Amino acid sequence: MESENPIIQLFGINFNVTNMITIVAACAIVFIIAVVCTRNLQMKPKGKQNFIEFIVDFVKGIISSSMDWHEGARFHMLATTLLLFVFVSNIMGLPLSLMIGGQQYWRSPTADPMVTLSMAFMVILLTHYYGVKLHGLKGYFVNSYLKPVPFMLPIKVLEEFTNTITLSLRLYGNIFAGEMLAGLIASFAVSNAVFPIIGIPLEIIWQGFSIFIGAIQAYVFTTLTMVYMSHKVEVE
Amino acid sequence: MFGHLVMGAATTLGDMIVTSVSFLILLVLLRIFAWKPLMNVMKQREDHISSEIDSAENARAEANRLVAEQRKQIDATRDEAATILTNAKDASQREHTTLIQAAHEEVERMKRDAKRSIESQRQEAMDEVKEQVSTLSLQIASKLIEKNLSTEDHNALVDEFIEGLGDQDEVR
Repeated sequence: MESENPIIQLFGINFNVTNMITIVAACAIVFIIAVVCTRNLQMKPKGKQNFIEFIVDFVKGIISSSMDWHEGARFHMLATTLLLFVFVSNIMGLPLSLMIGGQQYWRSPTADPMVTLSMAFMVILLTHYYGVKLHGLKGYFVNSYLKPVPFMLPIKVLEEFTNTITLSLRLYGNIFAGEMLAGLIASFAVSNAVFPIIGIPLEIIWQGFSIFIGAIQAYVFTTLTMVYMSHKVEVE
Repeated sequence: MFGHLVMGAATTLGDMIVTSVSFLILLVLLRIFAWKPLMNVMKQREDHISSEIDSAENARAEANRLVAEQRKQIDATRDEAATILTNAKDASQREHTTLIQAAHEEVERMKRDAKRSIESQRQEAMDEVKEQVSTLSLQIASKLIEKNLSTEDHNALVDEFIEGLGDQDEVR
């Protein structure tokens, strides 16, 4: 089930075309969902507006559980976008996995370790940015690494790297495994004339479960991002 | 897949750039097109609800105040009505007493007047009778003197006279 990704070289940098397509597509889908849901906004919400407001309130709950809302309000939009983006990315590969000439063009962007690593790197970088922004360089350093006890400094520094890696690899592993198994079931189903009878229901069940996993992983990713953010932002 | 990580040369930088830039663009676009309108509406609703709650509380306080006021007013009116009723009863009682007394006095006065008038009329009648008697006496005397009457004639005359006297009395 090993697949090649088409690579294109621009400005001396190699770009993975699959990731470009899927990430832009994920962004477009999230944008369309958000824009469609926020047309005709009313004081009395109904239908689509209820849906988006439910998500916004849900994210508010996530943030409130890890930090004070007074400080967390500024991350409300970031967390909402993260949740939507990761969730859409997670389930993008479920209905369709497109491979042309051994090269893959459509799958979940989060089934690529580099994408999840980039996401994790980005949000961890953001936590440091907000730590410095809110407490100053010295305050950030003291608050993040020397409290509550200075001898924890090495562990705290190490934690920054492990956080990034666990955050990304957890997401990548779940989604990649899901897609891999979905692909295996699909190839199993088409390998014989009789197997589709077993293979298709199995694929349906696995896809349903993968939607569940995608939602859970999006939730976990957002929650952990906010937890890491609270470590940097809140004064202990 | 792990080829990226191991070899490093492949598309690591490109992937990071694509992911980060795409996500940041998505953030900006969402903020402009979805987040701000949504937050505005949610804020508006929040304000609306809180103002509605405030106005409802005000209205209830106002209603309570009005009820208390009305109750006070009704009590006052009831007291006033009771006072008026008592006063009216007293006044009518007084009037009653006064009227009866006045009637008594009037009756008394009328009685007195009647008595007096009867008395005076009786006196008058007596005076008149006396006068007539004296006049008749004079006439009788003059007749007796004028005519020489027989005893029978004389008696008849006296009778006649007395009868005439009675008639005159009746006329009175």
